[in-house]
Amino acid sequence: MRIPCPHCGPRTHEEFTYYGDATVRRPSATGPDAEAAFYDYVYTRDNPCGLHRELWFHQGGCHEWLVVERDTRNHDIKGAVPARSVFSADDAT
Amino acid sequence: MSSRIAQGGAINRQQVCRFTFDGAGYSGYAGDSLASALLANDIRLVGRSFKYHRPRGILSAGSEEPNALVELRSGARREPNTRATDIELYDGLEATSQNRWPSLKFDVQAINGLFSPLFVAGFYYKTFMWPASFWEKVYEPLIRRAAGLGRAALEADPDHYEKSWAHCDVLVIGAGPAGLAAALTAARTGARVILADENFVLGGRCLAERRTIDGQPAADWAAQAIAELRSMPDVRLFPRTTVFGVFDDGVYGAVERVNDHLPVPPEFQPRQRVWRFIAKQAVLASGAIERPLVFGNNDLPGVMLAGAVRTYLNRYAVLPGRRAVVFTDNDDGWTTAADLVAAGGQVAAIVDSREPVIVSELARRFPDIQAIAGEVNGARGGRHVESVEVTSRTGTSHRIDCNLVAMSGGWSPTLHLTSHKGNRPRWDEERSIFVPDMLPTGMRVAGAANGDMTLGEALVTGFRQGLTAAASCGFSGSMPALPRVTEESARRVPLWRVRQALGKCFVDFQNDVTTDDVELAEHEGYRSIEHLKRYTTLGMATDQGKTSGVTGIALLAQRRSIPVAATGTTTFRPPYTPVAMGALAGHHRGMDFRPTRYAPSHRWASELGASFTESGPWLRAQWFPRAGETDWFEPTCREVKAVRSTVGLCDVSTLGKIDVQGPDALKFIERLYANNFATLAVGRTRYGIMLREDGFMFDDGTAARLAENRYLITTTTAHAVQVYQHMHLCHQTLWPELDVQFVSVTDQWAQFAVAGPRSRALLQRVLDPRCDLSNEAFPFMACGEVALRNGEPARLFRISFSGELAYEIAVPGHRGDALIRTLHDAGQDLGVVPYGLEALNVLRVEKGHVVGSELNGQTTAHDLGFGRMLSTQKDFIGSVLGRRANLIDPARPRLVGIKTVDRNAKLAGGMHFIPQHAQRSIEHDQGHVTSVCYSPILEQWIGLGLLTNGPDRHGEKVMVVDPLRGAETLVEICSPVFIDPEGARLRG
Amino acid sequence: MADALHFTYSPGRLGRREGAPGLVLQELTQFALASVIARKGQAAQAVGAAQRAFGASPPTTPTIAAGSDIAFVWSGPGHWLALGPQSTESFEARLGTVFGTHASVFDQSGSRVLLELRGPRVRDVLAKGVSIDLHPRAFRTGDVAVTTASHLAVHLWQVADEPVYRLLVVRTWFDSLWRWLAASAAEYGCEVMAPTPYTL
Repeated sequence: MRIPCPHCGPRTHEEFTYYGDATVRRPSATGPDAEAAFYDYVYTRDNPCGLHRELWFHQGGCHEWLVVERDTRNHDIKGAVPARSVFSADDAT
Repeated sequence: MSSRIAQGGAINRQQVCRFTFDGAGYSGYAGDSLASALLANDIRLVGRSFKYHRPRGILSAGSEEPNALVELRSGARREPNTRATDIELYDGLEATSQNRWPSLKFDVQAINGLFSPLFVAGFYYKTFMWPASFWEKVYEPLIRRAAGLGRAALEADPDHYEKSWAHCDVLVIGAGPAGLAAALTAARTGARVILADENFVLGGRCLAERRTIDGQPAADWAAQAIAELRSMPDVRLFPRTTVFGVFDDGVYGAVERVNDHLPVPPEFQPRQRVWRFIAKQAVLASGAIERPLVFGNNDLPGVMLAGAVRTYLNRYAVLPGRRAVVFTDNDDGWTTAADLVAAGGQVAAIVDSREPVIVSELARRFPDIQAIAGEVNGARGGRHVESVEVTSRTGTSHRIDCNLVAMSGGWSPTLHLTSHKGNRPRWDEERSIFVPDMLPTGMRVAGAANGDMTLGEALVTGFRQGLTAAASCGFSGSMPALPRVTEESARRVPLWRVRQALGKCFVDFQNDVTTDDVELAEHEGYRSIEHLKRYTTLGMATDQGKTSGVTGIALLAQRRSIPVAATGTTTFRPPYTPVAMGALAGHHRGMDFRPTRYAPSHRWASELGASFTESGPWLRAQWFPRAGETDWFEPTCREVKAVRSTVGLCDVSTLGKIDVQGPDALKFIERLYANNFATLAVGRTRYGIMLREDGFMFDDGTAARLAENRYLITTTTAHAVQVYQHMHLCHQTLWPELDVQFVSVTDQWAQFAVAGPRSRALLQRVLDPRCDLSNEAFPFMACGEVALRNGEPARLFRISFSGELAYEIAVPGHRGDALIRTLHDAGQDLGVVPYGLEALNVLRVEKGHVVGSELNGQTTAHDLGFGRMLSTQKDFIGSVLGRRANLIDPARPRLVGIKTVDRNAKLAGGMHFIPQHAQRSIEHDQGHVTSVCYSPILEQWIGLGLLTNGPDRHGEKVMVVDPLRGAETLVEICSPVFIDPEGARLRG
Repeated sequence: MADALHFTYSPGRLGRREGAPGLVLQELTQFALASVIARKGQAAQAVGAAQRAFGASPPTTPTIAAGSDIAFVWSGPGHWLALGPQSTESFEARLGTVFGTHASVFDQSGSRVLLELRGPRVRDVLAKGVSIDLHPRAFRTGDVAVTTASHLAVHLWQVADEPVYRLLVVRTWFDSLWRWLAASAAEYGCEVMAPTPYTL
């Protein structure tokens, strides 16, 4: 598998560390249902058949976290973007 | 060399190669395969079959060979299950037949054939079912001896293997006519091309056929094409290289047999090299594999694939039999008859299973050969075919004497690589072949691999696919003029099995699977092709059914009266042919299995004779034995006592170190650590704990505030990488708004613990005299920049893992060796002692400090006594879930100290706590012992453990039991801090 | 000669002895090294400051930019390794003055070993552990790769078309890198040169 690092170019997957679902967001620690919300955030995951957005760390390269879109059925990778840009955009909304 | 044809062939008759087979000496020529050399020497019997130990010969001329498996070389270099048909002959080759005892010609287990009803489909499951106790002791050893393939070498492989990467625009797999054509058109556009072929000579069937291209022999055309490719700088040719797997995103695995054609690789050269080809596009031109016909005793030596007969005749100049019968269901078989005649052989008959009208039309071309529209019912002979029984369509039977049967059941495209990513081939009913359907991204197929069986089609599709592949990479070129080629026909009417058979009809030669087995399996309900495979073993073992698969599928379809398309195929997975584990490991074996990390003091420590141990990737000193100390115990106790009475030196550079800077550095640290850092002053250090978001302990370490906006944090050796990754994750995804910068400086700083009552005195000798180390100027937990006596900068931290007055001093990594020597020399009269991991462990157990055994991923801050450190004033990673009731339950196993009641008793890590008079059972389990040591200060064994309600039970006596080793002893529960609980020493 | 941790770096011939060496290897010593990471939103200002002070713009793509005596090796977005000659003055302090509030600076002078590699088979040797494409169409003089060599993190850049490469590797991993390099170059023959002080 090769991951197109937006900073370094396409690289073999051995350079990356997999983390997991990139769509979950850390809830507020002070909300009324903080414990339930954190429980979902930490433990509850979908297991999609098809495209999945997930976090990978370019450990053997630029040390940037990436959001990689991967098809769970065949490992086809549609693209990768810097996690910073995805998560900063979240903040703006 | 009685079967060698006087002239022709792609062999070098000037270069004789001597070789042995089963100890007897023979000779062949350079350019021979082992199989062609054996045939040239009239060796027909090459092995014994898997189950029935039937005599077997050479079936094919390529990597699809199911029968002619031999052990190659001897001693440590012995390699089992190599195929005689694609071993390149070399001078000095040693080969041994397999699966026979006591000898190839007389094999006592051939008697298995008489008991063949025992060995039918599923026989493993049926015969060896009971009694269960017999399995390990009786059945398994029996089966392993009887149904064996070759023997692996028992010594370590003395040769070197390696791995490499290669990149290209277009990868062409297979260098037959289609592959050469594709490589030519692609390369002429300027694209970077890799051309790989499993054989030791490029050219494929151009070398094996008497065909012409533009009026010249196909082999000459191939030679010209190869010369042109070789002249181009961006083309790389890989003979002896099997592309064995297709992986994601244009990654292709290949193994190059760099030096398998020599008895011993030249010094410094690898035997084999595994390649990972990264290709933007690939053209698969892997050709086709001929199918055997299914008739009685079709496994007898001397029964051979018709196309292989042509290879031996034309490429190797070997006549595999003087008097042949050709049995075919297609036009291609007739070419073999023609080639046999041209080579001086005698063709006793051509038996063609098709309609008489077709047969008589073809027969007009061979007026001298008896053509029979009919079937071969069976072959006869002992260890070699002597005659065949033939029945014509008119019903007449003949016995025809012969010593070669050339059989052709048509050709199956070699499409395995199209399926490695999960795509299934499609059944082409008209041509009765599976053809590639959906392809892996970037792959195209040319020639016979795509079902385009004739030479003309191979060249056209090759040229075209090479050009299209290059175009997909942005290179343009044009189609060359199409060459004129010999006309041929691939007409076929499939004959999956003969109607009347004499004797066993083998479908899968390697696994001894017959038509009866297929029928029985279907009868017993194994109707899916995948079930049929598992039950009968059809398509398993080293050849993975290359010659048998399609016939097996067709027979199952026939039996079930369903179309072949509905039967489907089994799954093709990498590797295409077996790959040695050594080749896959490459350089990374033995001490190179994984990288080793050496601490800055390593050389100094080895000069002192230190014993080393692995700690994650690091090699760390365990203890520093002195003359007369023979085990670990004495030096460890001595080193511990030295730290507690004089001064010790220990390399702690392996701890992870991360330098954090920026205006938001404090905010960042506050969110990472569970305890408070807001009150930490510049020039001070604090112990910190990090949780995971699920509320369990993640890691511990210190954070030193070096400047207003600069912190140096340390992690445990084990978690250095994870903590660094975690910090990046938090910064880049959770808090991208924070203006904070950090980088690992683990390697930048060589750091040494200087611990013990005389540590201050020692440091004063090493540091700039202006440096004030008094308690007032540099108290416990202080940190700061200092200078060595030679003016070089260093950092000093007054932190203590041992509980003694202690410091850690850090200098840039390349100065570490010099500093440790300076410290060691300067402290000789102070009684300085280097100490290793064992002493470090004793010192920390005596002080109740937790390490990996306690930070085991299952403990919480409360469990380890850090509950009160958790800040309630801030949000930090783990703050919410760490508060869950079950995680702060006092009844959880929590940290305690233990000491043996009997001062002579020993402890072992992993012992379980059981109340004193309770039964030793899981119901009474109350936790376990995590760390133990012999304390030379307390002069007894002590330990740390996680005990239910532990901190409330100090003074209680509890059993610790080790049911595995049958040990148990009574311990007293106590505070985990055994020495100096008030901390007076470290503040001294 | 920088102190290798385990083996002895000694000049001489490794592997095949006949003919010209396929790989020529030389350790470069006496360099100063620092990580420079731009503060949030300050990357352009950091680049400008470096341009004014050193005549080199820290690159925004994986390349190396050399100024009067300092070169910036791309290491990630807004992240560079500054490489300069060793001096009695603190490299971190010198860079810190230039970058001010635009970037954080971390001394790394003791953390790495720097090798120069050349010779007719240098690409073949590197291909045995480096997965990126080093063909002249894909990787040119001035290009940088932050990647792995034999599973170890390295910075690799090309300094001449011949080609000549420089390889920066973490000091405590250096022994393992060396063992891989020596094994990979053995079939071509490898000439190890005496260490020499770093120059641009």
